[in-house]
Amino acid sequence: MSRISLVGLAVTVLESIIMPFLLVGILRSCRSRLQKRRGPRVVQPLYDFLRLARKQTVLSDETGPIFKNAPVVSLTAYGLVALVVPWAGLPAPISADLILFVFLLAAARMATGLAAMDTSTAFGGMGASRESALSIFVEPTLVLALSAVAIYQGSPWLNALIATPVSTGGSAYVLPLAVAAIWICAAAETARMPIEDPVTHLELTMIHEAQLLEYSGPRLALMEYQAGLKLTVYYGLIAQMLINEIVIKTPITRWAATTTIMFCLVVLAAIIDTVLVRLHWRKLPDLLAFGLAFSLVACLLAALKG
Amino acid sequence: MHLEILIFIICTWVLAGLVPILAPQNKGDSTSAALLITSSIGIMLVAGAAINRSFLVTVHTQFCLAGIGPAFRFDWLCGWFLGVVAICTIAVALYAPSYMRHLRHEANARIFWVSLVILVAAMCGVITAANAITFVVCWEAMAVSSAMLVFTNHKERTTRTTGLIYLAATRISTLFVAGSFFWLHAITHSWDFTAWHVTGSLAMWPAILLVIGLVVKAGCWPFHLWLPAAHPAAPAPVSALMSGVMVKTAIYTLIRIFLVDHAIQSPVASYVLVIFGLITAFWGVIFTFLQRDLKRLLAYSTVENVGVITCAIGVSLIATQMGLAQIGMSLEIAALFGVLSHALFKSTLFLAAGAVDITADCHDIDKLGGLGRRMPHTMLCTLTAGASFCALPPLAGFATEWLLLHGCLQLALASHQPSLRMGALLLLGWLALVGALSMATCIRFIGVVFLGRARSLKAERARECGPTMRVGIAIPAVLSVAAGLLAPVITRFLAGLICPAHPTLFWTLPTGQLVILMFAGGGIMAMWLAYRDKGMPLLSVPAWACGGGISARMQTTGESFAQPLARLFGAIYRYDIEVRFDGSNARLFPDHIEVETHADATMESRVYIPLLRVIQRIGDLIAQLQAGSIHAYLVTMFATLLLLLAAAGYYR
Amino acid sequence: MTSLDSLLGNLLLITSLWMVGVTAISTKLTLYSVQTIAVGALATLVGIAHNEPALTIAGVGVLLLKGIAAPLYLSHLTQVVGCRKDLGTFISSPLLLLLASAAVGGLFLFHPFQQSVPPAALPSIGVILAGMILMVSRRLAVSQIIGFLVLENGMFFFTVTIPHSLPLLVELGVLLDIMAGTMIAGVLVFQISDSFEHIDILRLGNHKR
Repeated sequence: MSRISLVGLAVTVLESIIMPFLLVGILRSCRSRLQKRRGPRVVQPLYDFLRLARKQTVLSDETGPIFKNAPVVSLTAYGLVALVVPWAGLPAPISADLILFVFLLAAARMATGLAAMDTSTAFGGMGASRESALSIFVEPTLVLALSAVAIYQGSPWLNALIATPVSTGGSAYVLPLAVAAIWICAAAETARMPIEDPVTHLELTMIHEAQLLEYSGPRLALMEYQAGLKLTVYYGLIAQMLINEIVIKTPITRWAATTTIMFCLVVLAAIIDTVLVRLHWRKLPDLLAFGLAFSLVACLLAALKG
Repeated sequence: MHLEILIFIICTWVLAGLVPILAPQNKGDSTSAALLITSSIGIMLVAGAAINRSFLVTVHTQFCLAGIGPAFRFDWLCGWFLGVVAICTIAVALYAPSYMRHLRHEANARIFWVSLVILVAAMCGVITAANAITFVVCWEAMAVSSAMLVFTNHKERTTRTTGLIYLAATRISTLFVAGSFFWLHAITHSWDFTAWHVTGSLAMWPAILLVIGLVVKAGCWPFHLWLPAAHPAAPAPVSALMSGVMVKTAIYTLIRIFLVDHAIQSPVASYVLVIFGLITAFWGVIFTFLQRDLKRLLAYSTVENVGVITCAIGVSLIATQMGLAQIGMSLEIAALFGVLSHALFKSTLFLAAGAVDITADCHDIDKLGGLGRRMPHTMLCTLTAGASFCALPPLAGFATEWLLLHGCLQLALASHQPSLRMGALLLLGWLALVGALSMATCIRFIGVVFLGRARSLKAERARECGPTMRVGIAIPAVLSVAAGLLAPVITRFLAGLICPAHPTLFWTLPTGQLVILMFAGGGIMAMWLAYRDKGMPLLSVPAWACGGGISARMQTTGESFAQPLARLFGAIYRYDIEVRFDGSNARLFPDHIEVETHADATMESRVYIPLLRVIQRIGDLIAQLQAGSIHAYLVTMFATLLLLLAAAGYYR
Repeated sequence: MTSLDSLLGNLLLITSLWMVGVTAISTKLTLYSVQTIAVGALATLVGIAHNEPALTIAGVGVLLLKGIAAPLYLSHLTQVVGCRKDLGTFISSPLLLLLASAAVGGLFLFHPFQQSVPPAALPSIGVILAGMILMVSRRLAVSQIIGFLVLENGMFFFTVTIPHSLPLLVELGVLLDIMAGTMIAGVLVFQISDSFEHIDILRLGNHKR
């Protein structure tokens, strides 16, 4: 392993520990400011994590081993995701393709879904059911968008995202369309606004939160951290596509640009959270179909390049 | 040496068939099972030998069909499939004796064991057959013995009906396969598979006939309807064997004829396979999602898996035809690996479903629930198999899916034709959709059956099944973990077999690193949680149910879990949901709320039943001729004679 | 110039497909406006670059009249009539969006008009297709006007991508016809809305009986 990749590994690991808290903190405080509230501090999510990690676990009588172990499984899956996706602007420590990425996300989804079913409450089951219904759109969109990018870049490996494109004959719309598609996926996966209200306390409108309702203590801490990590990876991925053709000079500039763009995206997400209203559950396919259509058109334009 | 093992295997088969006949009722089960296991070990040895070096066994007999004696060829492809057969047979044989003890009042164990042995022998025969005649004979033996097994519980009316549906499907399959073989014989004047090399426009019709025949047997759309009919009726070990292995013999034949021997080269067939595969995968999975019957659900999921494997074979053919041999090979490996992984996880799932069925005496998933506490071992195995079914890394199902999807991606990258590239990309998206749906199915299945609270008294009374059954369930589950972890090795091995000249590396994922990281990361977290739980005991409280006490009826049922997606695909299911409120103040304080959902198996209700009605009507018309009146018969004969004379005069 | 062509062609295509999926009238008008301004600007640029005053004039006309005036007029119309969203489509709009994308994909991949249409003009055929889908699928009269305008955009883009294909006179005549058509359709919509208190095409059919 060369020195650059060692440094890259260290930076990636360090960032995947810090960034989730930071991004979630910025998102929350921005949203509060936009809504003319003072809001929590930027570092509040970290404090929350530490507080929860010290607390005693309260479990419901109904739950079994699956509920207890699901946070470990899903966080492990997300940990691996953070290691195979070059979201930090540096080559990912492990070289993998988009298929592994998507299936790791699926593994985490299955763990949380089963844990929610294990609570034997109506909310958990509803959350799991809705999440799996959403995944019908999210998974194909993600696969199609990322493979369009792969065709555009000329390599199936995710690390090719941060390299110079092999063939530049492709249409300039491939990346923007893929970004739009992945943005919609990210909104669905990270419980952002037109799809899900991140601050709601009405269980009936929740999707992701409903699955976590019964968690407490260290397990809740792991789940919250996992949500932050998901946000980080998605936004990092989008950032890579946005700067793909602009900044490829040195690893340092790329890393700096990525980080800046991630912060910008988080602010954008806060604005969207403030401006938009939550769609009715049955209207979600209308929105998610746009993601699918964008990724399909991206695929078409990528396929036409030769 | 090989011959000795073969003779030994045949002897054990004969013994395993004779013991239950000669022994008193229900006494020969264990002996028969032990003999079957012994023979399976023998099969494994033969499989190993066949993979090592291929050989031919010809039997010289006086009586033979069409002047061709039975001949068996053993090569690497046979070896691979024989191995799969052997593994599943061992699991099933371990499981079956105790299972059959539960059924002793309803079923005749003697017929069961004899048919089981014949089925295993016939499957081995189909896989190793060297010429078409041997193949068809074994194919028929397989069809009849498996139909006997479906009829095991023949005292029930539904079993008899479904058994007949299955029998009809196998007949149709044999008809098409035999028709194709006759056609090929007419072209090549040979019954030997190795002598067949048909290309060009000649190849199209035999290829299409063969594909249809095999696809009926494999259970592809639109011929899938025998699978969901036969599996719920058959005993669980039979379902496991039929869905895990017997369906795969059709896949084997596809691979043998089209991919390995190149007996027929027809571009049309490959596109037909891909289209069949894609529709089948989607159709299977969306109907899996709606089923309430435990085994019908699994039967539909078999339809899905068969679709994915068929699709892999088709894409592999297309890639090879486009001159991208490397990618074709990697997709071929995907299909072979898919056969293994599906056989493993589907046998576990069926055997576990059987265990649930006999211990809880219920196969409606909405009346089960909470079985995980009472049957932890079965739940663990089901969970493993389910995760493999959802293609979660690092299990065997993931290896299949990765090889297939990565192959499609490589095809999209390598080809120069925009339409092919787009086709490969659409395939990726479609398979991702199917994958997402199958995961929803899996969460629903495991969540409703094993997690939460028991929904009925029967489910509350369920207990873990006996030790031999547990071992039978666990073997394929453990092997599917092992196959997933060893995927790089197995893939390289298969690549070496398919193309001994350049066994290039196809598995390019750093599995080792990933697995180590996974175990390290997961282990650290689990240890931290365990440490925290130890330091501060868990506080156990009732679950929050908005102030009221929690009850089993509050849980999400299979029906309600399926609702969002069922609405989405409502047009395909003809899904309908009806809610009724009763009471004096029905709007605000209803006394009684009734929800009724309705869905249709569209293919059956819209296509097959009208079709059957038409056939029935034609039959009625013909039956009028056979009214028993001697005059009518004489008139018919006279008219036929006149017609024949007229025809003869015309053609002269 | 060709790269600009394909860039704008794809933009046109994406916005038209986007419109197929959208139900809000204002979003549709915005997208339409963006698309038309892009086409007009392209025509103007091509006209200047190739020294064809006819194309330049037509481009400016399209930009101003169709790209700015028509959307403003239509949005005024929708405000007066009081319809903000499509009442519903004959096929659900997400499915329609995917079907339209599939149709455009098929058009690009199989290229059915190889003889008569150069590859550069293919997006315009896609836009015409999307416009037709828009017209056929919507129940609201205003959406159908928009669909017609999108269709016309496709035709104009087609003429731009094929040099010397259309004399100025014809193009300007078409432009004026479009404007007149839009106005007349708008007035009609007013009238219909006044007399029947709705502009739902499906329900208009009932008045025949």
